[in-house]
Amino acid sequence: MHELALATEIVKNVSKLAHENKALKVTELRLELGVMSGIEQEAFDFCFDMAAKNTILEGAKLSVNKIPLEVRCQKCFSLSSPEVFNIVCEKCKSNDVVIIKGKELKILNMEVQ
Amino acid sequence: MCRDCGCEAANDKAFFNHHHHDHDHDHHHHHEIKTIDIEQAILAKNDALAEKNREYFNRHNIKVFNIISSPGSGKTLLLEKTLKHLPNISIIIGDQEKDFDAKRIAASGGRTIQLNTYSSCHLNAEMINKELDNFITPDIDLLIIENVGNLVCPAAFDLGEHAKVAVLSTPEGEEKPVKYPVLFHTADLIIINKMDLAPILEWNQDKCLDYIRKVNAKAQIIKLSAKTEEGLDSWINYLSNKNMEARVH
Ligand SMILES: Nc1nc2c(ncn2[C@@H]2O[C@H](COP(=O)(O)OP(=O)(O)O)[C@@H](O)[C@H]2O)c(=O)[nH]1
Ligand SMILES: [Mg+2]
Ligand SMILES: [Zn+2]
Repeated sequence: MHELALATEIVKNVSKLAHENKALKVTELRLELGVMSGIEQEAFDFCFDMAAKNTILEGAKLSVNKIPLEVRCQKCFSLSSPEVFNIVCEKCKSNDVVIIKGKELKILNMEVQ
Repeated sequence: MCRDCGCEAANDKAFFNHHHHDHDHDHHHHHEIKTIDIEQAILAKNDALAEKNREYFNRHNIKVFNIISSPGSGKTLLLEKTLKHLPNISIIIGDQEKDFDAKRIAASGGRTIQLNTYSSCHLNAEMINKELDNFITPDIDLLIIENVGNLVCPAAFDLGEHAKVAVLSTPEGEEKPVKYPVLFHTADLIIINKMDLAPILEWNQDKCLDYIRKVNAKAQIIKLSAKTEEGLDSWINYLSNKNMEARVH
């Protein structure tokens, strides 16, 4: 489960930033997760709570902005949003597509007190 | 502004009289909520180190392959057989614990090292980075990394390799590519192993290839049996192809 490794790393980095900003508490952390990021959100939620224990992030709300897949077709050049298990152009069905969104794995911001 | 009462002016006597909580409103406390922008890629540290690894590999002309599959799909046996044809390759084995696989590789005469990841289920760029100028030396030509047996986590961590190789074996069925699209989408080469078992299992090749193409239009596909060595030559040719372009992420 790499979710734990990532959650631990995130908590470490965000704690440091929060302390630098003289915050007493982080109340909310906002992330952006693409459907192709390889992160299982449920597992991640669980790991985040574990990793946040006894840190300035303990009890912080985790808000995840899920980014759906978006591809550009190299045949007909249209943009579409297929399922991850069928990465084809929804217009012409070609599988010659380039992923332009859906791989995001990013910390956006945090709310602190 | 105070979060508890919303009052802006601590010296507004009239307002004071209307609310009930009883702190003294000198407003030296830190009740204020503020948003701090971070805008940071979660894997930024790994990706930066992977890029350093890749620079090292390119500088010293080392071709690097990262093999990812479920446990038991035949990665180690494939490497043991590979050594018979390419005895000078170097092999890094990633495993959560123990060194059984590295011992198998060493017994086949291979130059190998075991990296234990313990609680974590994947190798990361830092572990490989620590081996630069240690196990990984400028004189080697070809490095194969057997990642920890897992279809999910290793896919997210770039190690600085030139190609990701996903191994799928026939007993796992036909559907793994669509169940684990992140790995199968990013793989540059997909090996279908244990082809010797395909008839017994009534494994459906067309269906499997169709599933692969649903998530990856471009990957090269090699079917082989590490056991009987049928098809092994395609893999050996793939590894020996000196003109392979550096992977661009
Ligand atoms: N029948 C058959 N068995 C294989 C083949 N490749 C590997 N195996 C067996 O599958 C088991 C797991 O192989 P191993 O190399 O340890 O898989 P790994 O976990 O991916 O490294 C071993 O018993 C191998 O002998 C193959 O092509 N055909
Ligand atoms: Mg193995
Ligand atoms: Zn199209």
